[in-house]
Amino acid sequence: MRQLVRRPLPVPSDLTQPFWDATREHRIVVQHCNTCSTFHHPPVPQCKSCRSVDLGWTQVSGKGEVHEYTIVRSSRVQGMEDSSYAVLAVELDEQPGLLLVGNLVNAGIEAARIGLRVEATFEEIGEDFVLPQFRPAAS
Amino acid sequence: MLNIRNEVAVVGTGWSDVSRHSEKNLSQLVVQACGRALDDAGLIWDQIDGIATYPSTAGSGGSQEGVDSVGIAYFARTMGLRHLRWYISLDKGTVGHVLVAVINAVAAGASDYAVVWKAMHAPQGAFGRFASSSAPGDSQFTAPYGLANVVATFALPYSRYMSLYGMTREHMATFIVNNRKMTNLNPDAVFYTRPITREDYLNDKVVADPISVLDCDMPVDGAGAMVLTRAERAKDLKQKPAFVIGYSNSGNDYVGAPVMTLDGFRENSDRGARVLWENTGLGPKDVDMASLYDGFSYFPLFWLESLGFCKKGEAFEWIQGGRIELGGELPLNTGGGALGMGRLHGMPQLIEAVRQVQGVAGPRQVDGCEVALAHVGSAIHGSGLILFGKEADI
Repeated sequence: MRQLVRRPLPVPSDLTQPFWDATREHRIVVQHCNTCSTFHHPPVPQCKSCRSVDLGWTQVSGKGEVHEYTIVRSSRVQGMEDSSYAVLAVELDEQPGLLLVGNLVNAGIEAARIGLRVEATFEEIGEDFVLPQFRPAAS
Repeated sequence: MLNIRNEVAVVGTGWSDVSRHSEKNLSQLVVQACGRALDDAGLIWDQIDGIATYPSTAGSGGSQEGVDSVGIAYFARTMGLRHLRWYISLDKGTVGHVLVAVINAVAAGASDYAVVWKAMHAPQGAFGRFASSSAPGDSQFTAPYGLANVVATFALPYSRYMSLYGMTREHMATFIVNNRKMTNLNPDAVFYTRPITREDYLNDKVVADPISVLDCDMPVDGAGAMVLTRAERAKDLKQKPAFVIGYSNSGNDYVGAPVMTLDGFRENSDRGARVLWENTGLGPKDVDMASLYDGFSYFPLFWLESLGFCKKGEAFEWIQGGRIELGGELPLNTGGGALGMGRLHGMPQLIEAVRQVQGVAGPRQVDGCEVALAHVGSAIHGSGLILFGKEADI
């Protein structure tokens, strides 16, 4: 995939800061209810399943399958106007319906399809952020 | 069951002149739309005692009253209304949510003659541009990946639907072409004089797969308005009434994901549909015509399924063979919807449904239209479903 330049940078909140701290270490963590074990992404102030406020963070494998995707051919995002790129919503193996967004990397955009098995990789952007991305799974 | 059947009626509708970029400013277009709606009803400005709108703007900058937005405070001040006693402005759910609030207020007697309008201004430049170097809030998980473009965001559930069920753009071409055929019979529509063919659609420029330019409603400068009153007053007025049978709301629920999903859409649209039928005691077989919101062309297909006109995964085949045409089983978006009339956040759907039960849709009139369904808005972001009826004793 062509190098995308000048991506908008995340502005973390108290709730989301642990996610971005972990990606800097090339790990993906997802908020996890300590009472009923439900994952939540984006993170929430109370568990949607059992209403517990005892919420922690658990590392996930980064593996999953493409649930939805689009190929942006005419971008409206400042700094990314010249690119065509695939945006994926990946359903992580850890929980049905648990979706993480990423671009498809290490493959042409036409490789994107629903059901494609992918695995996470990491892209440094700016000085402070590392973005999880997805490449086609090895096997 | 909802306790509102036949208590309230829409007694007048009106459109401003609508164009891609108007020489008039937005407040002048609102005056046109409301003035025409009042004339239609045989009422005058001084009779208005309730006002309501959904004052969204197309741009992401601050709004400028009278230029890219006409909200209730500006309207009350500049239209010189002396007898206002009820008003509401909502920031979710498009005109669908607002109309439900108006219906409730008029039914309760909080307003005798209420005007609801929607004004839209098309800003110069490209629509939906994300012009920021930072991505706060929910956008921190999407904008850094280039998913900030409105079209790309809405493409996601549609991409999954097409893949799951084997739908292609050839199927959608049927809806697009029929919709434009209806548009070409509607003098209020911005594309009134512009026909399109299947080839135009199949060769259309893709913005974000699978959505192309003709799958999106075009930003315009324009306004639409409706006047409502209680049923017993409606009978004495100039225009035939469109009685409100009932309604439901849906939405405001991403169902836990950072992006829109097919399942999330359906959870909301299924609920909205189920509540509508429970509220009214009616079902798909009672509907003579449907106006389904088409800000994106796939929305009506998803709603046909949730409403029960066909099964999940069947809508793209169900619409083939003339079912949704004027003489078909369920005439759909007979005024051309948003795709034909421009991006007006629900007014096209509402006004056409009302005009069908009033019997004033001219060459687009569905014979014997007694019940019309209007769906307005986005399943996930908020929408309203309203049933209108011709006779008060349905």
